[in-house]
Amino acid sequence: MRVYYIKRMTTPSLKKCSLCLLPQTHETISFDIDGVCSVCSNSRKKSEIDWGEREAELFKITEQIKKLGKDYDCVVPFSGGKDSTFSLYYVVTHLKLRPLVTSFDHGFYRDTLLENRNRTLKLLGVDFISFTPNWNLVKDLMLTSLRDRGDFCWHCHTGVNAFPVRTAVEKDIPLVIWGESSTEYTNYYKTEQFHEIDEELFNRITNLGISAEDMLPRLQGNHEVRSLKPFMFPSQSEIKSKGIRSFPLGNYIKWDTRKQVETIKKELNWKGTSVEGIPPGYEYEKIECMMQGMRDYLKFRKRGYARTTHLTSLDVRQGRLSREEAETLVAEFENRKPFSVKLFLELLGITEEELEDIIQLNQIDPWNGNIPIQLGPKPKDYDAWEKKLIIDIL
Amino acid sequence: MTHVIGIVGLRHSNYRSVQKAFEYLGHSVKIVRSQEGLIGITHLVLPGVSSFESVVSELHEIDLFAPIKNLYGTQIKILGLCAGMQVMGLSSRESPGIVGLSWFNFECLPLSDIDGRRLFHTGWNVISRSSDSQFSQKLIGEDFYFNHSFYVSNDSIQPMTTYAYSIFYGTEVVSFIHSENIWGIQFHPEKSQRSGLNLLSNFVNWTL
Amino acid sequence: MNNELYRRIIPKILISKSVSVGKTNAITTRFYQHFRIMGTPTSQARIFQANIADELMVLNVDRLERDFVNFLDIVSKVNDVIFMPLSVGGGIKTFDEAARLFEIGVEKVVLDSVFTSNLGEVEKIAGRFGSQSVIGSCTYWSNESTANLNDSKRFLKSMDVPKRIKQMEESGIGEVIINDASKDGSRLGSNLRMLKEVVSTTSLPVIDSCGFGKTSHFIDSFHQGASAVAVGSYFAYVDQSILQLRNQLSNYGIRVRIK
Repeated sequence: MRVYYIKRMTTPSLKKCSLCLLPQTHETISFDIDGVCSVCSNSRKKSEIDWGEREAELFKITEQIKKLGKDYDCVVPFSGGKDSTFSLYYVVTHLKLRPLVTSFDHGFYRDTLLENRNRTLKLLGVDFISFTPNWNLVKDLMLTSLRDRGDFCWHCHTGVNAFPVRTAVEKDIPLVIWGESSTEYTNYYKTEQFHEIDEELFNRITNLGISAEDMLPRLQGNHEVRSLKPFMFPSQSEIKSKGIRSFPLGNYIKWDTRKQVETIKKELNWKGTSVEGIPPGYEYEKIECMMQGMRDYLKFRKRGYARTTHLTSLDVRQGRLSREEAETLVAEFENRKPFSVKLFLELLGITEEELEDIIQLNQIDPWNGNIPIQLGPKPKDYDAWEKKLIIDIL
Repeated sequence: MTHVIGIVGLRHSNYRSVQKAFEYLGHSVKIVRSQEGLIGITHLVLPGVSSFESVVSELHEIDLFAPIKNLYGTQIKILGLCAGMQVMGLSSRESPGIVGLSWFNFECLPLSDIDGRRLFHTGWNVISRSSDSQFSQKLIGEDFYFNHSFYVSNDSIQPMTTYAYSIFYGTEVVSFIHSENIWGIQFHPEKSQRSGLNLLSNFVNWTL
Repeated sequence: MNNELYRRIIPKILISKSVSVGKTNAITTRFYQHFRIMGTPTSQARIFQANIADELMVLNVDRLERDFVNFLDIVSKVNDVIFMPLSVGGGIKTFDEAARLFEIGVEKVVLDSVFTSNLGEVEKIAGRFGSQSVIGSCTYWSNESTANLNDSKRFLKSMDVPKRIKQMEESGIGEVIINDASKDGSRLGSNLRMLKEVVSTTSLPVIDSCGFGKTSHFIDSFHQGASAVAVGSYFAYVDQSILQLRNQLSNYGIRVRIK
């Protein structure tokens, strides 16, 4: 594949894929001679894979696991969102494994999500463990990672990825089955590769280049090392010695989001909801977190594109939307401040000016877009968020 | 079958990095500094960082030169790294008068530019060409870390050998060479991350 | 540059024991002064390993309370978690210190102040271990208006750099790294003018260091002929990993290792 070189211009504007709308500031992206991006080319490779063969291989692995006769066959990391719900459903009904379902509660789960979760766990009949870290630590971590990376989700990225594997190590469970493969949206690994969710992936993609050990001194002595343990991924040697495998289900079955959403809606009465900054028609996406709107907003300020670009690009790739239709949606829904900004600032105790300073420092070259003027609409469960997040002593 | 990787523990050879790489891959390693150390090994690695002369003279010093030389054509798989590959030839212009293991017919030459200034092939380079062998073909396009200033040119390779090259300042530098039970690697697989570790893994699992 | 080698991105891990008592931390600096603790050396090394850095550079920034034995221990632990070339520097002044570092698996030593105090030692090290195992470091302060701040008198002046480069070349080093201390940690870009001058006067590979803050800074450096960039604060504070950066650079036509 010959690489398409971007010419440097005096007034930089973002180069976008000629097929989808992903710009050059996307995490790992390159362009071919026709300007088609590597995420598009990678997704084409998906159809070249013999998924029947791969699924057969998965069944072989799971048969071996069952023979071990452990208390649980596997750990299934579960938030209640569409991907983890489908994974859990598949593990129970198709692979017929006995899972221990785990959830790392980052503190921002929305009510619709919790209702979905409750329904799914009861309908499928599984054992479930949830862990919620210290709220004061979470707020400190959010602020520190916001300052150091322009991304406040460090505790969530690391906690969600570490907790299931830590559980597997502690309880001697031989397998952790995740949801979609990272190759769906990024090029850190090749589609043909069977990548594992291991320490290397954690250090490469998950922890923003900061491990729990590195985070501790950045917290200015306010927390002890043991409070950060939930955010530490087990070492390679710990995992190897217990013979634990940890991989995404997306390595072995063809990931088709819309089809999977139909399945969980039908079988588990799964319900979606609206999310800040996302157009209607995508109510199955990212419904878990109250701060999703803020997260996408920061991504937009940093890289010049966000959730709407990502979702419409997926549809363009699958032929469900034309590029022009996608562009219209992006123009309308991105470049807006989410309503929840005020809540976010109050939660972290910073001013809008301070937030703006942080954003300015974190923009990824060559993007240097300005503050959007328009404010998004108030989410329907916003009052519930305020009630849950702002705890008054009086 | 358990493999035992013997690594010749030359003083200035950085053998520890090589040891660490094999151990990371899950193999048992034995540091060899005498003829007795050669007993029970399935593989032998000859690492080398400094000069042609220092490798050869230390091998003589610990009475390993002749025993290792006699391992040619045996069941023990041998890997020479960097200077360790160079001493598998006849000689090197770096150390005139010093005789190598003579398993290959080459003499190591200095890397220099058209003005005769000495060059250092230091950095990551790609394998660009290879002879027709199933294995060495797989190396093409892979990149590895090199650090040397004397090299083996393709002019003096004996016939029944497979090899691969990298290009540096227009010169074809032999980066990989193989004959019988011997592999020679000019670059540092123990410092070439995933591609290097894969190559070391292939060395261990290679069947003669 | 027509030598077919890939351009390299070399993250720097600056270590200091003096910042917090008893523990050796990875820190970032600003104008060659301690700035912030940003993690632990081995953890950062693992992260750079996972991000497929081309090489790693570990520098001891402690000057007064230099503890070489501790430094050796940290370097050894860092080397244990990586499978790439490791360059080490920071007050290395003797042949013995260099030898001990090579013994634990260090690929190259970075020598700086020893060029003014004891040139003979450099020749000895390069002679014994080979030119390709010595990087000559030249640290200067280019900002004349702030020349009296931050103890910057200990650095060379811009006009002294060419002479130092020549001296380093003659002592037998294999690579040059140039550091504009007045741009260190600024994230406003490296000193391209000096880079251009040095690249045109020496045939050795040049590593540009100090000041990177945006993708375009790296592009500028490589276009000016740097064979590698040594990067400190950038990876500590910007949400762009080496893999992401290399992708971006490759899109602009720069020959870097892309997996």
